[in-house]
Formats: sequence, structure tokens, C-alpha cells
Amino acid sequence: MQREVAFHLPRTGRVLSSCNYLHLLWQVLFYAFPLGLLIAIAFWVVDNYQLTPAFTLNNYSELLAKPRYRLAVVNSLRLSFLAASMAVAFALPIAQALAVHVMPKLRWYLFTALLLPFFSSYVVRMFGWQIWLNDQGILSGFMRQIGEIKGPMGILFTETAALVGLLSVLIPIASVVIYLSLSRLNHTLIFAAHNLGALRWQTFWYIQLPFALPGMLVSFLFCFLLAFGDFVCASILGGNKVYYLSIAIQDRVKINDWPMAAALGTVLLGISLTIVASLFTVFVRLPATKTGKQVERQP
Amino acid sequence: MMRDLPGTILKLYLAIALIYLFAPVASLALMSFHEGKIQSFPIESFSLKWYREAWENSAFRDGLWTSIRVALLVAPLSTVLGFVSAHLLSRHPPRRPLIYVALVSLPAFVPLLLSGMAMLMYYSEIQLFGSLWAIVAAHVCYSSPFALVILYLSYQSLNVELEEAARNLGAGAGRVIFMVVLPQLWRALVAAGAISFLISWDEFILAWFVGGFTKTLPTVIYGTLGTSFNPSLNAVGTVAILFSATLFLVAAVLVQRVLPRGPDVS
Repeated sequence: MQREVAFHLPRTGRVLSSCNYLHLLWQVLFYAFPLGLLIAIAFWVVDNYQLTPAFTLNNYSELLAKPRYRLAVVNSLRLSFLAASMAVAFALPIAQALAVHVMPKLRWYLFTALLLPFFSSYVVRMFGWQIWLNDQGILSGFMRQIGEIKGPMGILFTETAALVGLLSVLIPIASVVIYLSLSRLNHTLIFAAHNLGALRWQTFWYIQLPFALPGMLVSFLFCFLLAFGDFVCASILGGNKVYYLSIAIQDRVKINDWPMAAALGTVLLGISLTIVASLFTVFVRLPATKTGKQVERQP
Repeated sequence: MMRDLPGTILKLYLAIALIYLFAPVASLALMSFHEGKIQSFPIESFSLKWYREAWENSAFRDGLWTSIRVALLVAPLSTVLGFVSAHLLSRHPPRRPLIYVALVSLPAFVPLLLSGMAMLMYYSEIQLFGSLWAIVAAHVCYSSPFALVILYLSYQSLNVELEEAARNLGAGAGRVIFMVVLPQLWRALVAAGAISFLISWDEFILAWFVGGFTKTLPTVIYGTLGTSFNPSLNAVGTVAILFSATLFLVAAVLVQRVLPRGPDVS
């Protein structure tokens, strides 16, 4: 934090200092209250098509009893795990290329290029993938021309399609995060390793990877979080065939079964907040510098 | 050349990754010039027909107009609120800054689907549901943490002594903020505004839940996706993405100037 400001004259005026908490006020009024209401609704009942306040655990017991909800949670966890680990695996070489093999001048342009699709409309990009993946699409047209397939390809509305879409969102984020932790590496360490006769893979394994690890962990958790809460990609590309938690919630909302939707939502919220909490813990406990010092001492 | 074989492979990989990331956008732009009604590949004849059709479609035009109005309201609101937090954290830090940050930036971490549901229920309780302001309130919640990060980071590069000098010379707290702090932060302010605008422009889930019959452009696009295929979607998507890209480039140039080295005052 900044050092204390020395105020020699009267402190901030009363009007101004009450403005200091405006942001918090806004977030509480328009965000915390709604979230609280949602958590409360999970205990309410729908009585005669009317949402009525009550205190019942029926929604949760129904949630635990019905296999389709358990399946939805498992499906979501599996897809997010797959997407997050693949994103990290694909992003690591990108970060490595950015940190070591690309000229610093070019780096900024490449960063912008990486983040550019990330900052353009999510729905529109997922729709763009539909053009690639649908049965009259570019990919199947190409496959038909080289004679690889005859009929329709049938890749759209599968888990593979959802993965393709998710990865295009997650890889840029993961590469930037991993790059940030890699860029803390002092390059003299690499030169020293080379001088002492280390092979390329040894330099990578013993010096660069320990630096990349915190970034990999943070980006894994972050990607997991994003994939777990996503429903745009699941519904546009995954197409409701595989039942995900987010789709299950959306289905409940559609038929106005709010208590059940809220109960499912709290499950989603609980898992997500656990991930956020571990993200913060990783962030605080595992700064790249700490790992770096250990590496420096090793030889 | 042989010595840097891994480097060459990595650069090649980077190029392939970029192609993959740009693939959906590129296909959209390409298909928007495709004349036929049925999507097919390769493209036979090019035309601007679907752009004209999209422009004549009143649903798209209304969505565009709503999106612009929402984003124009969100950008200043979220910048001001982000600045308030950045100022608080840098100059009058609360006793538990981490808890404050966690509270204020919660909307950026909670899955949007949940936020959307929660807001839908609550906003209909307080009679806000379905209005333009409902979308604005929701978008400010979501985008202000991002503005906060940009403004906080550039606040760190300011010189406190300038503010102390101003106070010693008799300027009030408000005057210090408006005449000393804000002029030094103008790039960060514009960048935060641009990013907030961009987030609001692109955001779909919150607008969909909270907006009701007030539809932003992404909501209209999503709605059209569900019905039969409409080729003018390609054209609309291309325009939306070109717009975001331009805005992002502006923000990126400004952020790049702000973050590494402080502003002009050393």
C-alpha cells in the first residue's frame, strides 16, 4: 500500500469522504442484495404457481436425490477440468514463445492480437464457430473435398464442439497469465545454465518450468472458473445434448421453478467461490519470486 | 538456424494458435460477403447484400441503438465508481483492504449466469426489471471492478508529494482531486471508460436476464440464433466485432502508455 498521506490541513471534507464508499454502496445495492435474495430463494417454495417465502430443505434434498442433477454437476466438472487443463497445456508454449523467443518490440503487438478476440462479443464468436463446425460448414466442406468424410460431420452440438469454443476463449487468458509469471525469470539464470553445460530441456525443466508453475496453477483455476459458469458456449455449441449444470439451471428458470434454479445456483456458487478462494490463496502464497529463490540456491 | 530450432517451432506454434483464435471471427467476416441464402463453402459470389438487409432489419437497429445508449451510460458511471475505489484504496485504505476488494469485485468472479438470475429476481422486486436502467445497473456492477484495476494500477505511479504540496498551499480535498489527481490520470480514465464501454457492449447474459423486452445487440443476436438461420447475422456480427476491436485497440494503446511508466509528471 501507499504510505500515509501527511495532512497538515483539515482532513477530507465530510461530503467528499462520504463519497468514498459510493462504489461499495452501488455493489451492495445492485449486487450483494440480489445475490442474498437468490440464496434465500433456494429455501422457498412454489405454491400454486406463486413463489412464496418459506424455509424448506426440499429443494436441496430433491437436488441430491435426482440423478440427472448429479450427472449435470459431474458433466460440468468434467468439461471444465478438461477445458482448463487443455487451455493451460496449449498456452504454455505460447507463453514460452512470447517470453523468450519473440523480440520485445513485437511482443506488445502479439499481446494485443491475443487479447483482441477475447474482447470481442462472446455470443458472436461462438456463432462464428458454428459456421466452422456445422454440417454445411467450412470444416465439413473441407473434409468432403479431400474425401475424408461422405455424409454430415455431426461435430456441432457435441462436447468436442463445446471444447473447441471454450478453448478459444480460455487459451488467451491462460497464455497471458503464464507469460506474466515467466517474465519474472531473470535471463542471466538461463545463460548461466547454458554456460554450465545444461541441455535445452534441462534448462526448461529446472529453471523455466518452476517459474511458470504458479502462473499455470492460477490460470488453471481461472479457466476452470470461467468454464464452469459458462452457458453461452454450452448452449450454442454444446447444444443441450450433454446436460451441464448451467443448462440445468437455465431449464429451471425457463419453467419458472425458481427455488430449484436457486438451489442449483448455490451449488454452482459454492464450487465457484471455493475456486476463487483457492485462487486468492495461490496468489498470495506462491509468488513467482519465492520459487525463483529456491531455484537460485539449488546449484 | 539449426541452433534455434525450438524457437522456430515455438514461433510457428504461436502463429497457428493465433490463426485458431481468429478463426471464428474470420469465418464470420468472410461469410458475411457470401451472397447465397444457404451457407456453403467455398463461396461462389460476393456481395454486400446482407449488410443492407441487416441495416433494414429494425430488430437489429433497435438493438444497436439500445446497446450504444447502455454502454454510453455504463462507461462514465463505472469509471467514476472505479476511481472512487482506487482513490480510497490508494489514499485512505480501509482497515481490511483485501476484504473491501473482494466485496467490490465479487461480480467479476461469480458466474454471470448466477448474477443474472439473482438480478432478475431482485430487480423485478424493486420494479427495475425490463428497463434500460436495469441493464445499466447490472453492467456497472460487472464492469467497475475492471475499471478499478486499471485506475488503481496507474494511481500507484502518482507522486503523493504533489498532492501534499497542493494541500499545504491551501487546496481543499476536492480541489486536489480535480486539479492534481485527475489531470494526471486522464489516460487511465479514458482507458477505464473504454474498457467499461467494451464490456457493456459485449456482455450478453446480464442484459438477457435483466433487460426483458429491452434488447441489446448481443441479446438480439442470441435470439435470432434460436430461430431459423438468418445470413444477415454474419454481417451484424462482423460489424459488432469490428467496433469492439477498434475500441479495444484504443484502450490497449492508452493502457500501454499508462501502466509501465507513470504519466508525464515524474
